[in-house]
Amino acid sequence: MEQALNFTNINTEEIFNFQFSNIMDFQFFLSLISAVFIGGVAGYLGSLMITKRMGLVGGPLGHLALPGVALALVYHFNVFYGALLTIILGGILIWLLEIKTKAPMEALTGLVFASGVALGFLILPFSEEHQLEEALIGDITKISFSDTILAIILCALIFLIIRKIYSKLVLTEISEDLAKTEKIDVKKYNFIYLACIAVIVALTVKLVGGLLPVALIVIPALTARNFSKNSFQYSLGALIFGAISAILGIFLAKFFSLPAGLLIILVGALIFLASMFFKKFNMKNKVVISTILFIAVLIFSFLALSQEKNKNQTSTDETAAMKNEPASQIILFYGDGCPHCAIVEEYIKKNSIGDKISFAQKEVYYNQNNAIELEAKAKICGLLTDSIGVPFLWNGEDCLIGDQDIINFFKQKTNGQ
Amino acid sequence: MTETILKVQNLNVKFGKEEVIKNLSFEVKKGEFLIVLGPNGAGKTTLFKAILGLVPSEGEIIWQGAKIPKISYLPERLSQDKFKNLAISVKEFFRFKESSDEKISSILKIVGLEPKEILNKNPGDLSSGQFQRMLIAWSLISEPEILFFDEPATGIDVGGEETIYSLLEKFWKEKNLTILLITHDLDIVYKYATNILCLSKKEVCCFGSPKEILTPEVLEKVYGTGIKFYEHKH
Repeated sequence: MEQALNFTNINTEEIFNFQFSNIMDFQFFLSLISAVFIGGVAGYLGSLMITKRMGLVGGPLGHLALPGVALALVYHFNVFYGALLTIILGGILIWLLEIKTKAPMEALTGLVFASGVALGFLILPFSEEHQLEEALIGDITKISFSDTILAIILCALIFLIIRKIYSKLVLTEISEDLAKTEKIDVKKYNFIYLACIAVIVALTVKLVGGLLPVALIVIPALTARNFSKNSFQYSLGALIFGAISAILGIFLAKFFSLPAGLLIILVGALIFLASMFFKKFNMKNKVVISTILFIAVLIFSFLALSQEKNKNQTSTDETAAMKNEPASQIILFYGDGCPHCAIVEEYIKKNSIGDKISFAQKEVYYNQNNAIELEAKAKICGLLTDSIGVPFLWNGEDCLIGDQDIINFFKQKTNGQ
Repeated sequence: MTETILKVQNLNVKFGKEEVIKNLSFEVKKGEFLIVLGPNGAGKTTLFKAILGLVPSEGEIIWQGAKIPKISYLPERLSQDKFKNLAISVKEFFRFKESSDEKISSILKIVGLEPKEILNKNPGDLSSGQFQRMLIAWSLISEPEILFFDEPATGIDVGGEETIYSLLEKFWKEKNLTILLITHDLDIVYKYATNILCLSKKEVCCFGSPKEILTPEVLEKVYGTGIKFYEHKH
């Protein structure tokens, strides 16, 4: 009854809040969807890579992505393109070096990927802590709509391609001569397969960073092996376990505010450990156990989702409350990589302003919610949307723009105390 | 029966500087059971691979007739361990060549395997005799016209070997197949071969009927001294 009553009393405030929480959910939905696609297809391709004893290739390839990721973060373009670019360049370099020097491929791979890692760290300045972290362990939580679409399309495409060539590559692994007499163009299929690996590794970099793609490739397939008796169950299992790990990891990450990539990998590893235990049971029990496992996953996801909804509810309540008395809060809006923001940041650190005044810091280049909030504050001050720049400080009633004004403001505040 | 199916002329295969096959010429007639003999390293397997286009070669390999016949090849030592490392069932292994379950089951029955028992097993988990029979079924399922078998009975006990060759003979007779077979087993050669090609490291090649080839003199040339072969008196 009460709810129905509330429903009829909708005012403009509530509509705004509703949209706001919707945006929150939408961002979460984007990261969830892209993680499921990337995790699932990486697992599927991984099952083939393990069959061909190439599981570990994901490691060096991921590291090769690092300089590209670094470039992408510094120059603000999609991490995927940066990663793919240097993976392909690195691959070609290894191939050329092998032809020129005739040295063992694995040693050359070591040379190239270690140089890649070193270069990546050089490009990414150590001071930009968050960027370094993103390059190393990934960050899917801020993925944009267009990147999500790109990830979905590429994943779907690669799944279809791999499905088409899967059995041919397995036969090639059993015996290359057999495959050739069955008129399979081994070289062509190997090339397609390698290209798919490059794209998938570049996609996983967004999810788990340059350090860990190998985990997304290897773990789901290892788990699936424990449940499967044939190639169909094995490859499908790897796809499903990859997707489940992604779902659980993303929810847990949201729940505990920890990096999603790391949790996806750890969840995957835990499922693998559990699967070792289940391996002992016979087929009938396995079906029952997998069903129970699946249902548990679903229940957990719903629980986490409803918790998340509640959390949103309270947080939107808070923002509503904040709107009623907007005076108290000081907010510093900044952008990742903006040089003037860095100046302010340095001043804050040097003089430990954070200990003296309580204020919030909000990133606006990547975080859309913060950007919307910034616009709202600018509107209160009567600023036009295109005249907004960061660093931008909201002191509770006024807007300050530019590093000098903001530093002066902090100076006054701290002297006053 | 006397139609030539394959003509090999002046075949040369080199691995780097080493000449493995030198100026080899022979013909295979349709319906022949040709056995390739020779000591280890004489180039028997390489000859098969050259004919099948799996290694680069010089010289001419001519398939007579309107089109290249349907070929099945069973490589030497197709390892059972390799299968053990893969998640693959017997059924899926046959799916590479044939999609009909009925056909798969019937060919397995023909080679003396019980489909229900093995279809969902991993080929690596079969006994070595079952595995070899399965491979023969696999090569026959695409209804080839010409078979290349490279020591199909390695690692099988005497009884098992006997059944495998009698199986092959049965198919050869029933389906009018042409079979090229590599083996070391002179017993088998005498029993089944319609023609023999022998390769040797010392460049002694011989080509002819078992009666001509299986003489102590020729065998000594091919394998070196010390080999004896006693003709069976039936």
